[in-house]
Amino acid sequence: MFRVSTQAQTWVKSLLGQDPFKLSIDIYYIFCLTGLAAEEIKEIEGASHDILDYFPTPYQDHQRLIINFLLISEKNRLGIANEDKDRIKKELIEKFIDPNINSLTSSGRSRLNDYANAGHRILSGKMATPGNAAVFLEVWLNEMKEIEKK
Amino acid sequence: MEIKIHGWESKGIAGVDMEIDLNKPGTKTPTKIAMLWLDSGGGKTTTHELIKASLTGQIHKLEAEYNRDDGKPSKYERKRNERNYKDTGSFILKVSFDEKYCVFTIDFDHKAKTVDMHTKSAAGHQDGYAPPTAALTYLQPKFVDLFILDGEHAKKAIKENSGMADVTLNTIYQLDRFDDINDSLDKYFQDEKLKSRGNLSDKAKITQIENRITALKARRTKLSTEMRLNSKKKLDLEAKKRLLKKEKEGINKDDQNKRDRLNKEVDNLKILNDEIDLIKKEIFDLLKKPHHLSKSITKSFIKFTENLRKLDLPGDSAKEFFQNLVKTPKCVCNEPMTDARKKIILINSNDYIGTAHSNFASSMKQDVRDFIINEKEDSQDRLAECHAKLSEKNEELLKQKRLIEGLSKNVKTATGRSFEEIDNDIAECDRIIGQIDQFIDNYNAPDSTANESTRPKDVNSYSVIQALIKQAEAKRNLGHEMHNKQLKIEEMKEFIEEIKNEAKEKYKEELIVAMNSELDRIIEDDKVVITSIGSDIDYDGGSTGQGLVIAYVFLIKAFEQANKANKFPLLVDSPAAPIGPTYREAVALMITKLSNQYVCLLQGGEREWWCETLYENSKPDISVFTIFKETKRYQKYFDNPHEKLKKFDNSGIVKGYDFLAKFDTKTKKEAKDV
Repeated sequence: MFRVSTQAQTWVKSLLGQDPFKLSIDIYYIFCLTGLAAEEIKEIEGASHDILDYFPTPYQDHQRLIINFLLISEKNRLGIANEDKDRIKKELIEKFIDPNINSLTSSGRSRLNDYANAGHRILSGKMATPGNAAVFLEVWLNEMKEIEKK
Repeated sequence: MEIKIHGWESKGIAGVDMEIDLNKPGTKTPTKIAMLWLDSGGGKTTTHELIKASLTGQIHKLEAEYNRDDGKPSKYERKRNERNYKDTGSFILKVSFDEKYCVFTIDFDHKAKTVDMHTKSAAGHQDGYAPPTAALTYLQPKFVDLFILDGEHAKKAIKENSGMADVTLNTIYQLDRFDDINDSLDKYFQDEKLKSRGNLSDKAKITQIENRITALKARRTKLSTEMRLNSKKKLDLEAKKRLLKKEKEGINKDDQNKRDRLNKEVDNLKILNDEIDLIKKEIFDLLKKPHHLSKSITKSFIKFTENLRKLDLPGDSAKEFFQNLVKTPKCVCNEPMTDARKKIILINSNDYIGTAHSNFASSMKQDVRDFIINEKEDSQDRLAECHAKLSEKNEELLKQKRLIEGLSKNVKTATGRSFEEIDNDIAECDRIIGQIDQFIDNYNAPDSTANESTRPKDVNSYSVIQALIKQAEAKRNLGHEMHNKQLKIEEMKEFIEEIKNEAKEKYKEELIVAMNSELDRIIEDDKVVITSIGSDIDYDGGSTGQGLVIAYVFLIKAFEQANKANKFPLLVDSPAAPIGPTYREAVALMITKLSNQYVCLLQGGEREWWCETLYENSKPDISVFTIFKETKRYQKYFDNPHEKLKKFDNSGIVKGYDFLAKFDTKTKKEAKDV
């Protein structure tokens, strides 16, 4: 199940429903991109809010790219060497990919939640509680540039 | 447990007097098959019922016959005007339980209208019903009904919606023992509940729970009152907003130009907002492909894909190839597939990934080629452009809002107040309405985080507070410990029910296979196929005449399957009457192949196609009795008695198949031969 902490859900409450964040997973996705780009994870502590257990239609065409991004960030975070075929196979491909549903395994979804939660932590540490989607997107893109520089 | 019927004696009761010994001559072992022919009025049904009553000890029903509502005499008493009427009577059943002999005697006193029972066994002579304890399980009425049965009872199993098949399986496979366990759990819980009433620690907890219920109820009252007040307040605020908007329409004529300017700027604000919406949409669409975020992320995708290629992942071979290879007698190099080789191949197979993972990894790599490497537009630059444009437009939007605010201050309405002042009032109304809406949302929505430890003052949902009150009241009624115990018992009961249903389904599957195989053998034309066993037996094909055949096959096969260790006799009243002549022989043949003892009570035309098959296929392990009343019709058999005729007070019995085969045949010539 894709999920965010109740704290994160409260933080973005005003954005939900505003264009382009029509679906709950839209904000979750922004958190994921933040965590994945920063290569940081943080487990959800306390209450959480369930979103979905699959990528909905607007994401299905590119879900393999998102999964690929997860593998890349996880490889870098764990410091797996390029030559370490065994770890890449076992700790990334076999652990996170469920080919039968063409998506993530339960561990994969759980790890993506960790990245999303880290994404929320990073953003809430740098931004005030967002109220306007356009301003949030602008500030978020600025933050992403900062993350890129690191 | 093996139960056998060795014989019975009937004297002074409805029907004829008889002494039936089913044992093989000179032994204490009954023949496997026994056929007893009795004419109408011979007491066939009485015998059947008394065998059942003897085995179950249910004699109260027999005594109740003396006090019938319709005032008629007991059906177990002879007609008063009969020549051989007796004031007393008895029925003696001789059985064995695991070769331990037991004799049940039922005494009738027609004058005193009483029925008594006594039992004789290795334990001695005992008043009442006293079978061996080990046999009691199998002597419950519903169980005995399944092996001491009449043809019609068996047929119920295939009658639609009778529920008979289900009940029969529950009994034969003793699945209702699971229900007994659940009943015991309920009883245990009821006993515990009674015991816990005086428990001091529970009393203290009950006080705690009562305090909580009081607090929860107070909270419920508070929430309901607030809800009522807030709903009214919201209506008032909405009315106020309508008035404020109306106030804005009352224009001060001197300010018309300022008002026109303001409207124009408000329109510009809308256009600006629309432009921003388009930019936001484009940005989010670009972000759906994560590599658009930056050139360095794009590079990391390409680098990772390239790395997978270098590592030969997913590779041309899949793990399954090697797993299948070790199952072949020879390796691909034509060398024998030894254990050592198998081990090495399996270890090395771990270097490869499975086909499904391999396909996914290939698609992932293909996506990188299609969406990243071969992408024509520079989407990262496009995202940067959109970002810049969004910043610019957000800035413009801010300025526009400030401009409108400034203009609003200067535009006066007919009341002399500025737009800004009125807008502030409207905003204040909206703020309070927002708070009320939040309250209403909380009041109506179920709060999934609330539980029994949540403080009443933290509960904002009406349905949650209702549920908590209900829960606490249930807990108070039961006591804290008992409440937990009840939950555990309910869980156990569900688990037991699940096991019972799973076992039943498994038995049913096996039974369907066994039944179809038997039916295929018995019924050559007009094939019948059992499709399912639910509350009754569903089948395809077949005619109504085959109904009892199916029912017999059902009972016999169910007994066969269930009783790997148990063996019960099958005593059937009127076994052949409901079976069409076409199938009688086949069913009779099937019966001879049973390993259980089989006793049938026949009458009238049931002999045809039935007796000969039973006899020919089971002799000499068969006893045959012809039992007839001393009436005008059968007087000839008493006047010229058969050498084996055994005479009783009102009847005669001849043992042997030859006599039965020719007995009371329709032609005078054949009757003369007898």
